[in-house]
Amino acid sequence: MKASTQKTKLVSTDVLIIGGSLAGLTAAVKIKKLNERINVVVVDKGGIGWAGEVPTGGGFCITVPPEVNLGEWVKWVADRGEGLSNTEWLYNFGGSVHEVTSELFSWGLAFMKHPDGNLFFDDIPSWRVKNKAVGYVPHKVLLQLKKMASEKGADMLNKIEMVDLLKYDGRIVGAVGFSILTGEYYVFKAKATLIASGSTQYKNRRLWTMNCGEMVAAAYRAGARLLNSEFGALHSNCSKECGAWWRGAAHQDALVNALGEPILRKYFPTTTAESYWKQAYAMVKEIDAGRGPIYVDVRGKPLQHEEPGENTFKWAARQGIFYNPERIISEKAGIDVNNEKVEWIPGFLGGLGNIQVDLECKSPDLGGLWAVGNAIKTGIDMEGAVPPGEYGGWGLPLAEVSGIKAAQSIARMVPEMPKPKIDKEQQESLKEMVFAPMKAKKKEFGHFDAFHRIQQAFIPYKYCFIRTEKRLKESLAMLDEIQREVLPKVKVENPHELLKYHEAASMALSAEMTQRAALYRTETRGGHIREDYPERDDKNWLAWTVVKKEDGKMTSSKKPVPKAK
Amino acid sequence: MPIESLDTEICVGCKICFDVCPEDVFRFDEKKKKSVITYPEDCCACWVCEWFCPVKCIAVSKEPARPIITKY
Repeated sequence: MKASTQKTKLVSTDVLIIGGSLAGLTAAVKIKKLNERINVVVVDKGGIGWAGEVPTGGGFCITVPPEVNLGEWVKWVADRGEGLSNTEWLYNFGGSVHEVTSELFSWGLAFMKHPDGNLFFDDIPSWRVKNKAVGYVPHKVLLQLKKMASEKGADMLNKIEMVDLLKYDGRIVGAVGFSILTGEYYVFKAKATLIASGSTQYKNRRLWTMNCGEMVAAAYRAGARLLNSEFGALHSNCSKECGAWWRGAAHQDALVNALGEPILRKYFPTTTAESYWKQAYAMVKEIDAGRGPIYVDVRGKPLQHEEPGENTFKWAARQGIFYNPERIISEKAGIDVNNEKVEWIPGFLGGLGNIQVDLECKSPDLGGLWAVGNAIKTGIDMEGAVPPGEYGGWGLPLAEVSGIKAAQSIARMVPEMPKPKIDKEQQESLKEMVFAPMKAKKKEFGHFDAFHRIQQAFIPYKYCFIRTEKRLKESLAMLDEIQREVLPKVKVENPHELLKYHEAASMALSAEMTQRAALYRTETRGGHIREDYPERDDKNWLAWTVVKKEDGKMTSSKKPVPKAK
Repeated sequence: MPIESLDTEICVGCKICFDVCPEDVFRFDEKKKKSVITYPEDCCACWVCEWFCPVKCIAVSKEPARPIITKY
């Protein structure tokens, strides 16, 4: 099938939102509330209202209510970020998360309420984090937002895989993709393009997310600066039997080795926050020392849903949310955690969302481009030198706060922006690129070959967690070979397989960004562990890494962390 | 395949599985108004379709679709 035989559909709009989950839909509703005349199109490769990471999340959102001292809260987080936390963004986020939460509650979304009808604030003491939390039913909230956005006139297009950004005169003027149902080529022309399609995941386990970093890769190709990619890979842990991860397992003394000894404090005696990567590190070290397997042992300890009084965990479980790990472990692994210990293994999760944005979620590099949610996780690096997921309950409020901030910025700027023009040559060359795997004459590789090779080149701990220069170079050589020798020889037969091809290509490029940044940062800091540079080096590395495409090549550089104000 | 079956006698055509599947396993038959398991080899056994199906017409095995890479 030739690319030229694919039908082209052109869609013109003021605002193109790529990703119809929490961040994208929040932005869509807010833009329409601010100015109903602005045209908004939301596009997603899944079904909007059910797409992205949110429907399968726990529904917990941190907030910083007025009674919490914002400066102290910022300091608490920044102290744990080992010098890399973006305090400007921490103030930006912490200073508005309560207001944004209250605004979304006022929209009538399915939040947990007190009997008096007010928002329920929870301390969640087991998190040991100095903020409050609110809870909601994530899949219900998404459907509510979808309905609101539709009623306000936003258009929704499902099952379209977005592949690349369109550029004209150095500005982003839309994006291209294809229907995974019909194979039609879609060209979106837009004054403002908002990336809300999450971070890169690598399909290595039961992931509960469809995000593969397609727009992280597209932002790179378009010339955006991508920050702190070495922290965009979460080494977590999960049940061996069913792959479920569990914040309940994060109670410091619940992880034990084969001898029954608690393991986390052996390596991190003063740790005060639950931390997936610290747990994974302790597990790896204990297994290496011959004291595996590792178990989660919560026998005789109250589980989160058994803590006294009402809390968001108990409430959310009663609302039928999907992600209830105790239920999944019980139903799928057949283990009653009250009476049995659970074998627990290290397990990689991924999560690269490194697009740099300013305080209103606008790209400082590319006019016409905004990004929100998990796509900017390390790009704004609030948590500092830790992988994504260090603190529970940050993903949803980041999506909401960034969605609102981007919407305010877009609604302010779009009426003044000129009509976008499209470079026809780019439109056609991107069409060739998008459909190239359908044209291959011979099938040397299928998409599973590509996924498997990327996983093998990136995910093993020796490559992506406990790092050395030699091993990072090995990994990069494999990723280079995959991009040069494997991906160009993948042949696909239908739009579903074409989707898989583009997911694989984005994963490979994302993995390369992480490994190049990891090679560049010649020190050990927080979740970035270099065996060949075991010390923290403040003289040289109070800096964020920057990955960028220059002259067709991926370059690494650094940017000093601005002094905290 | 981790996804074992979808009982079309019970399926009410709500499209939730089609919308929520992270791996694009389903297609929707607009004539019959039923979901169809079309790409079972891509199923990652996440159980999300099974959980959200309002009439519980989907069965997904407990076995993982892919080995979890833990080598280090």
